[in-house]
Amino acid sequence: MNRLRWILPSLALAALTATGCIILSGQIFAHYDLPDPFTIDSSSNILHRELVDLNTVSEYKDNKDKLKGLSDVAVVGKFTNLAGSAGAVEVWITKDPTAFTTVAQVMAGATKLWGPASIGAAVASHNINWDESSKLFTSDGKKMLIDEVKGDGVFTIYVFGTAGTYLIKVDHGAILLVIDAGK
Amino acid sequence: MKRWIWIALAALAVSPAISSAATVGVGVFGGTSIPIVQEDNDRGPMYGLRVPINLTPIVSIEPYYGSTQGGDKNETVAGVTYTRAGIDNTAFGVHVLFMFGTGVQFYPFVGLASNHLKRDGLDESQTGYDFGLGFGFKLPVVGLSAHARGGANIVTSPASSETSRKWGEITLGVSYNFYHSVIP
Repeated sequence: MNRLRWILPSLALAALTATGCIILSGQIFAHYDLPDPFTIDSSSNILHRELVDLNTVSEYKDNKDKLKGLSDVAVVGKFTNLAGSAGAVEVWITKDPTAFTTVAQVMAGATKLWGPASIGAAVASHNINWDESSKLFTSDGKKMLIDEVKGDGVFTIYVFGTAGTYLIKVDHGAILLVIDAGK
Repeated sequence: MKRWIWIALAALAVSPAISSAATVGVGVFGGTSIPIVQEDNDRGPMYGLRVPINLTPIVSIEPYYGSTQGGDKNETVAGVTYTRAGIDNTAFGVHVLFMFGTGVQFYPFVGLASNHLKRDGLDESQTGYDFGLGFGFKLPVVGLSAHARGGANIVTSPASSETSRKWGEITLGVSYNFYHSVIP
């Protein structure tokens, strides 16, 4: 009977371990830094295009063969409206490298990933933190991002303002990722 | 909804046991929950309620409720520190305890639970598994005992069916047995 008291919990643990090794897994933090700073200007550089290659991120590269999912994601940074009325910033995504040059092209050919993140009239700043950012993702955009993170890790994002006239500077912009890695 | 299904199943499982149990009690516990390989979540306090039901001298079942408040986690990127709110975990489940000893007892235990994980951007119910070891000893009041436990809580990840979030848990608690069956 004494043996049974050890055998039963051991069997339960063994059964759990056998069902896909969920025990041997973890949540790994990684980040992709955007150019610091970058500026979007409705009169000239209307959008910022970023060809993201997560394979340049060591935490991603090291865990790519073990990558099972994406637990958490955020777009963070300090967004400063240098000119114009109050507005917002949005981030859109395409799953492949693209080179759209207008907002209309982005809206026609990309998927909205994140936003709008509001900014007050010039001169106003908004520090988008991790918690706030996590609530600004669209379901379609997040799904595409997860697919890309689990896929080749290469995609394109576009950042632009929603007000008619804007000059927005982004400091310390980054994409934060928490990767689910397992055996 | 899923939570109520778990509670109903637990109630069904324990109801015949209660009528034939040697003792039935109620207990409270508190302690610390420590995330294991979770770089977006930090340690935090936990507390809960247990209903230990001794079926035989060597096996007890224990429906329980537990609540964990995950600690905020800081990550620094290019000199800027970003803070992520910790994950709060609310669990309803059942432990099975395999008792050794009489006055001073120690017991390995396993468990199954519905865990609700919540923070900004996360609001999911997942299945959880518990494993651990506990020590218990009687206090100088009839029916009262103290318990210390260490264990692991393994919750299937909302992000992937192939991974999990894991916590190490250290708790202290007291239980009071309010029902003793009379053995003819």
